Amino acid sequence: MKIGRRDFIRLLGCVTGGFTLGAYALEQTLNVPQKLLESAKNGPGIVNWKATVCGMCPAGCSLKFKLIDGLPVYVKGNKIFPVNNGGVCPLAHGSLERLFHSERIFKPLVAKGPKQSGKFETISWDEAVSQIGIKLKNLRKSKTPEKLVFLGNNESQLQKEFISSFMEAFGSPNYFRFNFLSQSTLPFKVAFGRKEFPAYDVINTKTVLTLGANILETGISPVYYTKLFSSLKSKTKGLATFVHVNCRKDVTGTFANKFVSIRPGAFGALALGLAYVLIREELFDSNFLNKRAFGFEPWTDAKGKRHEGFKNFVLKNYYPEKVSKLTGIPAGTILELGRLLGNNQPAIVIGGEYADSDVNGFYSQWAIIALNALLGNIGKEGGLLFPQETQSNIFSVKVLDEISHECLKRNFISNEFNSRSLFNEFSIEQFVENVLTEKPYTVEALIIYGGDPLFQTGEKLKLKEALKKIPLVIYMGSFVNETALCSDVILPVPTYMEEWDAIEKLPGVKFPHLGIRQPIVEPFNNLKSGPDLLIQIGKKIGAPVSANFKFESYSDLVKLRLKEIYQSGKGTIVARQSGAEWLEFIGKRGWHLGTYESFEEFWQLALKQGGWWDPTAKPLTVAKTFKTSTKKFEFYSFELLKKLNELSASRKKKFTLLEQTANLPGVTDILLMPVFLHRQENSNKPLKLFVYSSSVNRDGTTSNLPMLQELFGFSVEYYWNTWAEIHPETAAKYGVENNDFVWVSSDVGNINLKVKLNPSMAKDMVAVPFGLGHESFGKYAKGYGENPTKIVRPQNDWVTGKAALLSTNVKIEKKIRSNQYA
Amino acid sequence: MPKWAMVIDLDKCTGCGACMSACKLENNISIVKPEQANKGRVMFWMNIMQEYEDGIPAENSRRTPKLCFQCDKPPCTKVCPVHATYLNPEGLVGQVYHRCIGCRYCMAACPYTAKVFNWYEPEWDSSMKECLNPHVSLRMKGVVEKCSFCAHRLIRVKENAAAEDREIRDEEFVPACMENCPADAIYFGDISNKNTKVYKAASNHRAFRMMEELGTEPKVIYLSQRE
Repeated sequence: MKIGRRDFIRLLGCVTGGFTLGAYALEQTLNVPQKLLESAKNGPGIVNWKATVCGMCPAGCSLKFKLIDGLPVYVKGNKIFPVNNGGVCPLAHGSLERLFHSERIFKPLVAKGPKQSGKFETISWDEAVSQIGIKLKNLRKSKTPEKLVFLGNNESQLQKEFISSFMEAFGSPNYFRFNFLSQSTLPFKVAFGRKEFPAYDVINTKTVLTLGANILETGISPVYYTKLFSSLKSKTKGLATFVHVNCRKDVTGTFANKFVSIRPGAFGALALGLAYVLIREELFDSNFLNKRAFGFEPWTDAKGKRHEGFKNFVLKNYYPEKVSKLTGIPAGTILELGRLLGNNQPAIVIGGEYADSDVNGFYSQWAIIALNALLGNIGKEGGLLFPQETQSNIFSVKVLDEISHECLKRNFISNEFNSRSLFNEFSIEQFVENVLTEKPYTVEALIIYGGDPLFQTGEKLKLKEALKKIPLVIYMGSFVNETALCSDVILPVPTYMEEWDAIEKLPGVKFPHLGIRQPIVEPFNNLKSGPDLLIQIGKKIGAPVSANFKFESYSDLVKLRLKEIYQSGKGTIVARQSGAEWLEFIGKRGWHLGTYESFEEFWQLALKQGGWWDPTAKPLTVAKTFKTSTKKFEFYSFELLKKLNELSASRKKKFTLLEQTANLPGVTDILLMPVFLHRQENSNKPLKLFVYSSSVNRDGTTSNLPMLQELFGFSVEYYWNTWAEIHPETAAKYGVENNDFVWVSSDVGNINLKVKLNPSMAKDMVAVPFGLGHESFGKYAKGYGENPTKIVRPQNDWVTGKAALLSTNVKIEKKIRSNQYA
Repeated sequence: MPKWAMVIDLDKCTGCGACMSACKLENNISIVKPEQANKGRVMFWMNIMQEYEDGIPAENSRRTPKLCFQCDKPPCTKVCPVHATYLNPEGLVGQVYHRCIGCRYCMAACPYTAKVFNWYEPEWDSSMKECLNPHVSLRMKGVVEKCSFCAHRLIRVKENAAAEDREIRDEEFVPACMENCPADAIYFGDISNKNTKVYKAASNHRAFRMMEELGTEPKVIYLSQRE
């Protein structure tokens, strides 16, 4: 064999690489499979790249892992995947630490001794699966399968459908998901009749205003939007203005042209103030409002009752001087922002998680969405778009028996005892309440799939009590965290780097797409993924659950989904950017984009490139957008009216009390239109607590990764710890200086934090980052920092039932000792 | 002879920290103990400075990525008694770990505080050692380290170009921070070549260098609309 110069150089490079590996990286440890180590030690040092979809958060970025002889050593963004176009956030770089973490669990653990004693012993897989299978089978035997609850976290669309089909066949309607600081889709349901997020077409717009939406850091798809905004800055005719309004300046605020700070909980007031400017100065789209909106002008209902309409309601009640007092934003700025939106169209207003996570979050979001209707930008280029619905038929045929049919009607959350919210939406607090009061029935088994609700919720003690009450709590995860410690069985699952999945329908993304998650290494210790475990458990339960699984493993299902896409003939495998533009061009002219010899060729290419997309699919037109009863955008909601009318007398009373929080005596239709509801303030605790999450730790589940722990406080140069950000003027008022320690106390508790002064935030507010303060979750997480949800007063949004994380009032007291290094 | 330089567009940068994490991962930068990190011994080759400047409105505070500026007239190389840090012909300021005696003169001389010192032997969780990059050597206790512009990647790029008997293409050699930036705020390449993106970016009217008056001639250039 002839060895060329290039081969020789490559060989030389590999030898050096191999040597360094031998010196530093190849100690045999428990976690890395021997096979992998051997190949890395003795292999030729060949570099390979494998594409997969990131699983550190639900944003769905495609990644490329660099493997040297099969051992992953580096990760970067996949340049040709249209969602993230090569960009990543810091979380992706923590992936390898998660994969090779020494605290991962590999064997099923079962609790020993009394419940929640924290002691576990290992059992075999066979034993674990059959024990769970028998217990669940007994639930079906006693015709009470609804007593099984499945609590998910960040599942993909395909996994959601899979778990739903499992639960339906089993006969339980109780599959819920709990996410920290996620945004509710209910305001979109009320306004558009669609319970989904729209995509914001920022690439074709002139003005963007974000209200409490940290879309470039922790929003629905941060890297996707960062790429879009960044490409606009490169163009000469790009975005004219981008204004960000939030309680403190975050990553989105750093990028925006202008940042405006606002009091927590006042986003709704600002939106209505801006609506006032648009209406008063006639900057609204009257064509859209006449044709496609309902409830803007005064109207009379079937009973002859006259309604004031949104226009007059806003003009009477939300003039800039009043809104200025509510928001802390000067009236001049409100006028300026309103005119900016009205005069630079197309314009988009985006509401986000910080406007949403409050007791008045629903009405704030509705008011923000209503601004978009005033601007008439719905279903238009440069506005709010809903992508075309792509339906999968994989689960269309379901095998259910009589028990399943009967028990599916018995929902655990929507019942007459529900007192937290109008729409009977799931919230962890509602769930806890129902478990503890055993209404409508007891929960016999709970499966928690990933996440750490016990760390994330404000009602920790109650949730712990609820978990104690449930006879069988199963936790499926890769690490032992607070929630896992309170369960009865822990089933280890692989990390996302060892799993199969199909990630599609990401909220906020304009075009249909699918990213393939494939194992970049074989699952360590042959671990089975969550869905695969459900398949095994389902087989133990028997018919009809097992009859629904016509495939051996979840990976077959992923392939099946891809086959569906292949057979639809739409779209193409992701390709280089320039190519994609050309594809879009020919696609628009009715040509087929991809031509593949066979499905196998399509599949192999999808695995190599990372996924599929359809750049030619057009979003829904404005005519097809609205699914409300009036088939229009609703400024007056008949859905809400219906819900309110259905309420029992006692609950109706509660909502009548709610009306009073609007502080608008004599005004009718208050809860049926976007309105600003005042939060309850506490004069003893004059500051507002603002809990926020950052790009390195979105929900507290990456706190066990040392690199991300170190990065946590880079912006304030305070590492592995939690701090309290205070405006310098507020600090001066309380005699506090930078780096002093203070007690931050609410009605429910207090935490001790170091002060970091921040002039770019609202006054009379304390901002505390979320993520640290774990009481377990391994050596890198336990005991570092404080958890601000410990002092969050348990409250919920009055309509959606979502936890109101930002509705707590606090006070600060200086701790006497001040130590710079403590 | 190419001259490697970087341009960072502050108008695009969001300060998300993806460059910092990419750099730590690529260059095997060790993670010090939490209490040491808070004593100022934390090690970042790429850092992000949060600035609240006097005289400008608080809303205009910004985050600025800061790394070794690979100065054309580097003050650090002049004070090194053992030639552990030097300016190479392609404009890279090298750092040779096994020559370094840990006197930290170079750290004192650097006006940008871009260099960091290994106060301890690097420690890795036993299993996390597996994900170290084999192309970058680990540093021992008592030596100074800093951003290398991912020079280890240049070696491979040069080998490939030489094997194919061609010049290095624009953006063929890129550091990890640029590769991962979600905002596309970083440009990198040969600034002596007028056809490269980095040359064009550096010619922008928004371009400035940090503390230019010192005469260090940094090869990291910032772009910003603001003063």
